[in-house]
Amino acid sequence: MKNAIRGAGFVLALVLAISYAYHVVSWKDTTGDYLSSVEQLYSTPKDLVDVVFMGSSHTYCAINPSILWEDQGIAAFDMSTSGQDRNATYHYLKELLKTQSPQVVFIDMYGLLFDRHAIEGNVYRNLLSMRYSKNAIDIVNGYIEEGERLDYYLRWPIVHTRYKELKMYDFIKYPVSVYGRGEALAWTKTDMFEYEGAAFIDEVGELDEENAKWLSDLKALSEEENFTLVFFVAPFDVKEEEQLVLNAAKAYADENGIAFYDLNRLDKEIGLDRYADMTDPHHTNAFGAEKVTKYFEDILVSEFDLKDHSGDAKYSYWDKDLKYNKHLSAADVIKNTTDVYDCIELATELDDTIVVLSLDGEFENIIPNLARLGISEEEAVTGGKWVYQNGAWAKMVENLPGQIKAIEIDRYHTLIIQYVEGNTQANILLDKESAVTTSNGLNIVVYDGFTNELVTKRGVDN
Amino acid sequence: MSFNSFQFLVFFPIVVILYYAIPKKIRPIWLVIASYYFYMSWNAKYAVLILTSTIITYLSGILLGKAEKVSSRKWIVAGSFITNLGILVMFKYFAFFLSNLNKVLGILHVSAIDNPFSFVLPVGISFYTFQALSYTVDVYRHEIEPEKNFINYALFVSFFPQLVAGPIERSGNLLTQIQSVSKKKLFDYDKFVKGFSLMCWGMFVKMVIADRVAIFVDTVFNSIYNIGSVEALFGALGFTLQIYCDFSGYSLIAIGAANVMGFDLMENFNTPYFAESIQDFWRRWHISLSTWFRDYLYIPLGGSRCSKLRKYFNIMVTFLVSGLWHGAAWTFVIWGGLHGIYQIVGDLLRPVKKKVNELLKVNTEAFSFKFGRIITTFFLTVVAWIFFKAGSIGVAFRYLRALFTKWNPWVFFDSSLYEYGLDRPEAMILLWSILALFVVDVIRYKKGLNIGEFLVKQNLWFRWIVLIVLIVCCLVFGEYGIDFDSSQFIYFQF
Repeated sequence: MKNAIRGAGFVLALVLAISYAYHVVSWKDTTGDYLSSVEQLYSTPKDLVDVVFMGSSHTYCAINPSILWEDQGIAAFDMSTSGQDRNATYHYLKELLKTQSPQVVFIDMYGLLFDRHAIEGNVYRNLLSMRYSKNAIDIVNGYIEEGERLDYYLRWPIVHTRYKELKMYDFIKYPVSVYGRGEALAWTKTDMFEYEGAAFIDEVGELDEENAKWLSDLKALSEEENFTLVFFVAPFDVKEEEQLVLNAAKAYADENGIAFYDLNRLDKEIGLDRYADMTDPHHTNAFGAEKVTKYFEDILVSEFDLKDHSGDAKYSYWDKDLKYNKHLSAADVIKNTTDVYDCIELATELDDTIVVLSLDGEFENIIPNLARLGISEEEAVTGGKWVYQNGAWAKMVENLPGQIKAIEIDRYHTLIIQYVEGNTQANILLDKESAVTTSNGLNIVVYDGFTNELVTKRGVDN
Repeated sequence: MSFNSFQFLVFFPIVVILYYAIPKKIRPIWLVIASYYFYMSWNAKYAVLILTSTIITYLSGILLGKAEKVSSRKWIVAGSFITNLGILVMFKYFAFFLSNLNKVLGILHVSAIDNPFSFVLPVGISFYTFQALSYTVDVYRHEIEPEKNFINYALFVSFFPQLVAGPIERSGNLLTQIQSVSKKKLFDYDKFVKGFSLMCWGMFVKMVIADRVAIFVDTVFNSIYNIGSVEALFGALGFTLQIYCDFSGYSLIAIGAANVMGFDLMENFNTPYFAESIQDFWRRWHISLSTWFRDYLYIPLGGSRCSKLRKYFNIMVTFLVSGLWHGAAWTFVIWGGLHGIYQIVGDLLRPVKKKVNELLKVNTEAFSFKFGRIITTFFLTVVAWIFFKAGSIGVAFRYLRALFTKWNPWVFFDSSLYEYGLDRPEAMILLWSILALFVVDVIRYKKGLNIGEFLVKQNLWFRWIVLIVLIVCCLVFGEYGIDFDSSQFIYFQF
């Protein structure tokens, strides 16, 4: 009996250790190479999502649920994964339907245009992110040949190879993977590219067997689960042969009474500028996403009877997601504001922001301008370091050797402000990295304490 | 089904649970079924070979038990040896002998003979053939009574933990344990823990060390035209480590698996790289094979109780045959021959070394003296391993040329050593793992305890932490899975 208890205790401790190790090495919803919104789905309480957008990176770049939330109180969610293919779309939708009862499900038709993933990472993101269930087995069976599935079922043989790329958010929870609503917006604009504009070809191609089955399976699922199915094509630079397939899907949708929105044909209606609103030829940026989302907002408002959930405490993740997106948007404005003092003023208007000013080396020509920030000439003449935090400026460090001030932003991020004679670079350190830009003049660092991101670091030469 | 496969992870617990669940009397039957299933997972057809070997040696034992005349007994032994070695030669050495014959025929301008057979080498054939033959000899020498129960005997030949890569068991040890299965304790907790610990450690040295260093070793050996002395040195050291971890890892899993079921297998490795002479090395390396050759070849040839010349002849024959046992290639024969030469030269130089030590007043009790002997022995084995690893004699000599003539110490500093398949993080994992191996081997060397015996004496919390860390390290840092071309245990081919 004693041995049996010891054995059971060992097995329990081993299972806990292995579970933790798996948690560390598994792919997560952190932005970057392995983007998927499945953890965000799992963190969402039951029966809150009213509108779902399914698709690949085209979807999470083009649809910003926080806009629908802010404007209409619509609880929308992007159930998207990088390179989400037909098989993954179907099974992720089934996964979502386990806990949510959406009224409307938008499906991006981009999945019709490829059979196999070009990037191996997309295979892993799509097949290995789901919690273990029959659906998680089915998604593997739908893509991997029989006889090669064992590694995918077990996952360990694949995920353990991540040990060399582990980062902070592999060990602690990435906050956005809890409250994020699936979107991952880009804030850059595309370089000029040759836009083919093949979307206006009217010729209708053919749906191959797999594509036809996918569409009919989705239709069957919508009938079974009682949601309205909508097909759409998120903006991307479509090729001629691709448009023929999309036209065939539209023909199928028309025949079956399913709404179909090919956004590649609706630039004017949406107000989409293919250069200003795209981050690359295949993905909209945040500005494009705003336009696309507002276009769908009008449709949702006019054609569906969706409840306004604003103010409902159960929807706090949507509130937090909105705040997160506001911060990202504000950060983009701050970054792109040319006038440094305007930039500082904007930064101080944002919640949770930390702004550091540092007068280093020769700085006498800068002093008069600091009056705009409420820093007197008298206070500035000896130089020093000021920090804006919790709505007020405070001089933290005089330019005297040995003075040091450490601001623990949270458990994992520290900002050090100090005066190091002869080593200006060390005067502002963010997580051990120098944030100093100029040796003679004013250094400015803006850090967003909500997103935990460095917004900008700039220098004004004397 | 390799020990480090998912199939074994499922197979082994099922075998163990049922083994303890069923009545003691039918346990041998269950283990025979499990062992044949295990063997047939490689190549089902070759189960016929092991069954043939089992039947022949079983019958030879029965016949030996009845035969009284010495000449009849010798004929029975000869018959057993000829048929068993005939199968071994046919499947393992026929192509090698034919290719050498064809080379001779080529020199004589005679057309080559085509090989009418194309066999895949049956896994573990050298191991179970030697184990079965040792039984015949043991019965012949009256060291053991002939086994009448065919199931018991079949289990002795096919016992799955040691079936494909040893340890090559003796009937006096394993067969007697099988015979007394019904008298064994129902469940021996300490032995179970010891066995499980050995299995975990064996997996660790195989998956984390051997398979990781193999990546570096293979890259170096595949770049022999571009490597300098330092890469060649590290490649050779790497292979020295790889083959030790690979083979001792297998043996530990085998011994551990047997322990889990209450059986004791003989020790196969005892800190061989701490050996102070080549003779000592062979007392510590692949002990089950070296003692087999000692008992069934070297001593029958006359051993050391004869003239010096004859003794050296016996040594050379034993090591050349041992080399050939390891593989049907001249590189293995040279490897064996080198070890024979090392021993003979060592024996010849012994009086000279003694004189020099006396003359220079060397303190032979000092650690430094012992350490020097260990290092010298280690270096000699490293050089010999180059022949073992090289695909051909030409490659081996080119490798040796690179090792001794292309001194390039700057690669220690320009990070180019990381270009041979193991980058810095991988090299760090390897270094930490080697440190762990060193600690475990020092405990074995100093205290005479293997990791299983050591852990079973420790407090629960310490044992749990060590085992959990080992298992998690295998899962996370082990070389396996989708991007890894899982290398078989090296010794399967022998």
